[in-house]
Amino acid sequence: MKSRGLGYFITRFFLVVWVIFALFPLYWTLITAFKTPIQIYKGPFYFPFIDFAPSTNSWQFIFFGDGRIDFLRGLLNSILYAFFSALLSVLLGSISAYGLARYSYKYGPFKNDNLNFLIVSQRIMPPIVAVIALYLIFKFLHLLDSGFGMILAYTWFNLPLAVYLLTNFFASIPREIEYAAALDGYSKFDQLRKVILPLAAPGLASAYLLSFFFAWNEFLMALMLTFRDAQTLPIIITTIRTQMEPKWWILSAIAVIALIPPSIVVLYLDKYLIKGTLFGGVR
Amino acid sequence: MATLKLIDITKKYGNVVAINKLNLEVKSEELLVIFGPSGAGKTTLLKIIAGVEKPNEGQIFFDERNLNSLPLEQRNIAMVFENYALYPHFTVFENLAFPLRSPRQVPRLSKNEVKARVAKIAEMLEIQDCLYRKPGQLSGGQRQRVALGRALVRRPSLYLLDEPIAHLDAKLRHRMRGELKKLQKDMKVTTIYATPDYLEGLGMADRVVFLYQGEILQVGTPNEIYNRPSNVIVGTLVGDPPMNFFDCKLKQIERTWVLEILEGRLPLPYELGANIAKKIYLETAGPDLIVGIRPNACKVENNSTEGTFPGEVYVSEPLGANTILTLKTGDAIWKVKLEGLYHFQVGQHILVRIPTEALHFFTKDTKQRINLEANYERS
Amino acid sequence: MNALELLNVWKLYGEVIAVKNLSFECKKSEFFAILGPSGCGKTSTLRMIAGLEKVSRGKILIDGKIVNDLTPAQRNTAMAFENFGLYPHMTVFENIAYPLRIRNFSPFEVRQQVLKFAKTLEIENILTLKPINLSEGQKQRVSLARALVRNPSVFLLDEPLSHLEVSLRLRMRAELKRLLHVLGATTILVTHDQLEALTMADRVAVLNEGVLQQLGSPSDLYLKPANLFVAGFVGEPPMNFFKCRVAVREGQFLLFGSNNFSFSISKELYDWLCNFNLETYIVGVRPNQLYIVNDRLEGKFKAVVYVIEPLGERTLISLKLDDNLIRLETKPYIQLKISEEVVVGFDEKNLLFFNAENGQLLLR
Repeated sequence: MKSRGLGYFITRFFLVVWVIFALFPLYWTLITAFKTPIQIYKGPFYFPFIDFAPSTNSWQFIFFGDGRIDFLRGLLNSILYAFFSALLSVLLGSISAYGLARYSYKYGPFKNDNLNFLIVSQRIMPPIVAVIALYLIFKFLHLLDSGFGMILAYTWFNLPLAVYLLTNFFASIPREIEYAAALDGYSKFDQLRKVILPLAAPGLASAYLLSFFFAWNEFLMALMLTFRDAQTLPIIITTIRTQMEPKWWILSAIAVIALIPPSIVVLYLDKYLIKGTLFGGVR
Repeated sequence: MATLKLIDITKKYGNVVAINKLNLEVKSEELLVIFGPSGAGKTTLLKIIAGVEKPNEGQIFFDERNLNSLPLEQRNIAMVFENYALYPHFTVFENLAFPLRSPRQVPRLSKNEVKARVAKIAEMLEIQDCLYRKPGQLSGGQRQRVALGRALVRRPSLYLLDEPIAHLDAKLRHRMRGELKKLQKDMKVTTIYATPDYLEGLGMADRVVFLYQGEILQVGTPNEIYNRPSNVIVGTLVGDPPMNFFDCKLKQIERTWVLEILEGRLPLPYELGANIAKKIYLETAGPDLIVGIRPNACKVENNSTEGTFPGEVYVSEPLGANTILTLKTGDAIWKVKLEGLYHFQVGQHILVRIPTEALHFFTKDTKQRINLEANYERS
Repeated sequence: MNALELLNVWKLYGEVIAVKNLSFECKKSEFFAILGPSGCGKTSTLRMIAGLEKVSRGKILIDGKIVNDLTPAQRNTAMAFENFGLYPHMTVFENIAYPLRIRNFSPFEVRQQVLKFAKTLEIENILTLKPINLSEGQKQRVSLARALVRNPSVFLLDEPLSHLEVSLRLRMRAELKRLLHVLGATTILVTHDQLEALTMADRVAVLNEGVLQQLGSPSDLYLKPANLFVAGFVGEPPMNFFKCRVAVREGQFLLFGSNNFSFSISKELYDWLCNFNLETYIVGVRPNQLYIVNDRLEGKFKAVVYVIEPLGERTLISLKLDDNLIRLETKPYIQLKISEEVVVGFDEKNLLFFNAENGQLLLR
């Protein structure tokens, strides 16, 4: 048995410190959700049942009290928009991505690489530049403050990233595997279904996750393109305030709830993110 | 009757010509081996036949049907790819069963039939223990066998096998050579087998196509390829150790035809000499030619007689039941394969007999075989 | 003093025993091969000799000095790798020159040495190229040159020819053997190719699953394999094996495998076999020691032709007998058909007998 040197303990010590540092905000938010206003201002109190007596004040407010309508509407909207826009991004994105990965295009001077760049470069632009134009378009199409409009907007914004990710994923699947499936007698559609999509699962899962997170956390477009019915959770959070400052206790409760849907998505998709799915197929 | 005809097939990658105006006819139910060193174009040719690559020029006819525009799914061909192309997300069992479950599989097979067929192939290839693992968990040799099994589990009109046993260990490779040959005979499916290994080429083939840098140098039975190589390259690459080649001159000295070879003289039977002389003087107007002799045709002698040549032992390689000697005579380095185990020392001088019956003659400039009248050819 | 000595060397990776109690010595200028299938521990052994792996137990001595705790650079060894390990940012010349430059050879000597080895390995025309532009075979030769250029105490070669194309491999094998002989270099070659080991080495150590199976000259391994593993591994095509018992029937001494496979043996052989008092024996006979006979009386057993493989200078015939496949090597001028029944003969002297329980050779 090798004796453990000092270096071992110092490393472990720093790691523990860092973990506490990183997880502290989460912890703080969680306990703040169980505090009354007075406990917050009198604070800081660190440990429930030890420093302070936790109360379900905020929770009652957002679920059963006056805040119920806005909160639940915001939550539902966020979930719907994120879920569907991510789905659309991945579906539409994989169609383009497969094409870009497997076929050679030429539109005038534009070839595959150029098309790729054209698509990805849309993401380089800061959203704020596009939002104003988007507002005008939505107004014209009567899409302002609508769920449908928001899903469209988020899909439009996520599509480039999805295409970029997925093109790489599809390109990394060796062509011979598709040929093998073709020679085994499967039509293109069946090949996609049984061979290509399962192998691209990690890519599809990552693209979905990223699109979902983006839509979930998005603020600017939601702010500009909605005013009442279609508002998302981030917007709702900003409305929870007194004259002077935000109501921290309620905010924290909403924040904790806001963590849950993305976590569920991650937990569900985790098994599709397995690395090395392609390993062993080719020499 | 599944005959395959390739007409004027040409394939270019940019400026590089991979296959050059190739014409080939494959007979029904035959095992045709496409033999050639790496880079000869074997994989490209197989891919063109499979439909994975499209030729720049030329046509493919299978049973009189033009294949050029037929999509892959409809070609009823099974192929073993050089890099296996296994389905990494399926278990070995599913990989082998996949072709049997395709919509093109007519008549449809029941679950039990699929299981039975897979089990049979798995047993033959010795992978029955891996059936429920995924390719990522297998060794290279096992993966290769799964790739082979996936092709063999079907009964298509044509098998295309691209170096299917190259990465197996020697013992298994030997066994598979025999098993595959037997299987092909039993299944009676036209098979095209690409390999750079001449043992596979000679041992398995009904006919051999020698491919070199995109062109066919010779087509024939294994016998013909081995005993009557049409070209110096064919002679070099078929046979282990390769055939020895010497630059010689044919001269007539006092009515005897003599070959000036290895800094010495080898007299030839009169008719043989005259025959060769006629051919080379006609074509090249000079006494130069290339003479080939297989290492195993030479014998070590004790006495210096007519037809023996001295050589200095350069390397001695004992080979189980044989010995390979690399000899140096003047500037020439050549090999002799002897039956039995000998222990010659490096630097030792020995005498080797070169029998005139075992000589192969080639023209110096084109390196093509000089064909002589029937009585001088070995059978 | 031996150039290299391994004393009771073990290598463990956690619980897994890769090399088990391996001992051998290697004399100066000897060409020593370590032969075995993949996973047998040969690469681990080589890496321990080179210093790239730590020895779990035991000692390694180079030129009489214990080197267990020396770094690779401190041992005077050189290694040529299976995947070459060339410096990608240097030219071929620089790659080969590197070991000399860091040992402060003069530029003139460096140039002389590099050119000498480049000429021998036929790579003079690529000296200015970088590894990325080389073919596999060329990279192999550069790798060898870089190892050879230092004239180290022990040369370590890890499957140096496996990546070369067949025709080049044959030439390089002979060339390598000659070169190493002329240089008088002590060489340890690791390979799974028994042909390579037999043709090149002075002595061979056969390993299987970390355990030394036999240590001897190539002819010892071929003619007197110590156990079933060595017998089946060395020689191409591989040896045929049969399970048999001795029996006496109607005054005849027999070796009995099955009803279809039994043949008479001489009294001397019978008496000798009885000495061992074993139930079953495993009989080994090489394909080139079997032959087809026309006269039934001369033959020993019958079998059915399964597959015929004409291989140019010889023909390999696989015969089927009771679910066993027997391989037989003959001269090419034989006419046989599949499913034809033939009579096979052999000389009793050529049979090898093994203890069916422990696989060991029974010496005559």
